Amino acid sequence: MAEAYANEGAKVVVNYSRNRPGAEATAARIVAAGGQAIVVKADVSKSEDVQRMIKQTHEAFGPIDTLVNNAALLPAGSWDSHTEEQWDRMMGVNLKGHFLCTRAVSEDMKAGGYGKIINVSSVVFVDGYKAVDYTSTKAAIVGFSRSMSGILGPYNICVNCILPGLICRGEDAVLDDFSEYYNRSADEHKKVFDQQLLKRVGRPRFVVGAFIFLASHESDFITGSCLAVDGGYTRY
Amino acid sequence: MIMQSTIKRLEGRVAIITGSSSGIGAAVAEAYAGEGAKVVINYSQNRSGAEEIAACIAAAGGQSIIVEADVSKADDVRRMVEKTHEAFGPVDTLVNNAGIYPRDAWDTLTEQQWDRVLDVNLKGCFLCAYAVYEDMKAAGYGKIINVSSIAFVGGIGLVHYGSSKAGIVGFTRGLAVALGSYNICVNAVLPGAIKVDREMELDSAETRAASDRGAIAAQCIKRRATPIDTVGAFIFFASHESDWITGHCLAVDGGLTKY
Repeated sequence: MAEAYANEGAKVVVNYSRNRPGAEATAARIVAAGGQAIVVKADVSKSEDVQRMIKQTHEAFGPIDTLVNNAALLPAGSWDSHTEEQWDRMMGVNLKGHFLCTRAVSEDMKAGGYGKIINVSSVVFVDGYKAVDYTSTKAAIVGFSRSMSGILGPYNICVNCILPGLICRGEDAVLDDFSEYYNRSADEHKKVFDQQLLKRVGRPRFVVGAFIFLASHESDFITGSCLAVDGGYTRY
Repeated sequence: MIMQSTIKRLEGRVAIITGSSSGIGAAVAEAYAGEGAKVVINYSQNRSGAEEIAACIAAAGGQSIIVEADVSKADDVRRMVEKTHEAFGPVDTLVNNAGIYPRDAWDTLTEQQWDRVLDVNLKGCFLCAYAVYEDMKAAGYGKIINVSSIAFVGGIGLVHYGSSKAGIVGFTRGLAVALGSYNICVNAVLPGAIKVDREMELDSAETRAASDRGAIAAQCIKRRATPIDTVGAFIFFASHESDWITGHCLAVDGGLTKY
C-alpha cells in the first residue's frame, strides 16, 4: 500500500513498531522506483510515539493530508485463554491507535481544508469471527469511522473504512498458509473461501486499488462509508 | 474535480450505460469514454440529450453510439445489445443506471404507477444484465454496476421508488452470487442527494434552495454534489482496481447515511 501510494506520487511515511528490516526494505523499494519515503518507528497505541511520528513527518514532508490507520495486532489464542492484558493490548493498538493517529493529524487536515482518513476494519465485523478481542476492535473501527466522518465532514475531511476479506500475507501464498497468522484451522479457512464468490485466494495487491481510490480526488464525496474488498464474501 | 488521468483505465472496454442522456448516466458515459472505453449511450425519450453527450465524447476523441431503448422491454434491450455487438463487439461493462423518480403520495398511489417504477428501475436491471452476461461469461471477465440510491432507507412519496432501489441491493447481491464463479463482479453505487439538471428545470428556486439546505444539513460534507461527484466510484467499479470486489454497496452521499 505504501508502495502504491508512493508510485502515485505521494510522499509516504512507512511506520513500524518492531519490524525494522521490513520497513526499510519497503522504503528502499520506493526510493529505487523514484519515490520518496521515510521510516518512522512508533507504537500507535502510545501517544508520545504518535506525536513523534507526526513531528518527523512534518520535518521531512510538511503537513499531512492522508492517513491510513492500518497498524493492527492479529488474533492469537482462544477466547477462554484470553487475559485482560491481551484484551487491553488489542484495544490499544487496533482501536486506540486509530484515535491517537486521527487526532494527531486532523489539525493539519483542517488547516488544509482537505483530508483523507482511511481506517482498516475487516470482514470479521460482519461475520463475527471467533477471535472476540480482534473482532470487537474491527467492529469498533466502523463506529469510530462513522462518528469521525460527521465530526470532520464540515472541514472537507473524508473518513472511510476498508473491510479486507481473507488476504494472505504473500503474493504467492496458498490457502493453507493463512492459519499461521489468522489463528484459524485450514478447514475454517476453506469454509470462508467457499463462501467467497470470486474464486481467487486474496492477495495484498487486490486491495491496493481501494486504498488508492479512497485517498484520491475521485472519492471526494464519499465519507462515512465502508468498502468491503473481500471477493464477495460478505456482500455488505 | 476529476483529475485528467494519463493512463486510460478502461482502454479496449465496451460499456453500456443505460439512461445516459442526462444526469449521472451522462456523466458516467463521458467519464468512461475519457478513460478509453467505447460507450453505448442509451435513452428512452431524451434524444437531444443523448446526442449532446455523444458530441462531447466525439469532440474529446472518444467513441460512442446512441441507442434508443426502454429498459423495461425485453425486445428493446435485445436490440440495444445487438447494436452494441455490431458497433463494438462483446460487452464487458454494464451500468444499470436508467431509472425514473416520480414522487407519488402513498394514499393515491396507483397500481400502474407502482408497476412502471418497478419495471423501469428494477426489471430493467434484470433484463439488461440477462442480455449481456453471456458476453462476460465467455470472456471470463465482466463488471456490472447497478445504481441503487440512499432512498432505499425510505423517503416521502417514494414507496415505489424506494422499493425498487432496495430491490436493486438484493438484485446486486443475488447476481454477485450467480456470476462470481465466472469472474463477473456485480456492485451497487448508492448516490445521495445529487443535484441534477432535471431538478433545476422542475423545481422552483425556493424548492431548490430548501433542497440545498436540507442536503447540506444532512451530509457530513457541507456542499451540494452534482453528477461529476459520483463518476469516480463508477470508474473504480469498472476498472481493474476493483477486481476483487463484488456484491458490495457503496454510498456516494457525502456521509448522509454513513452506510
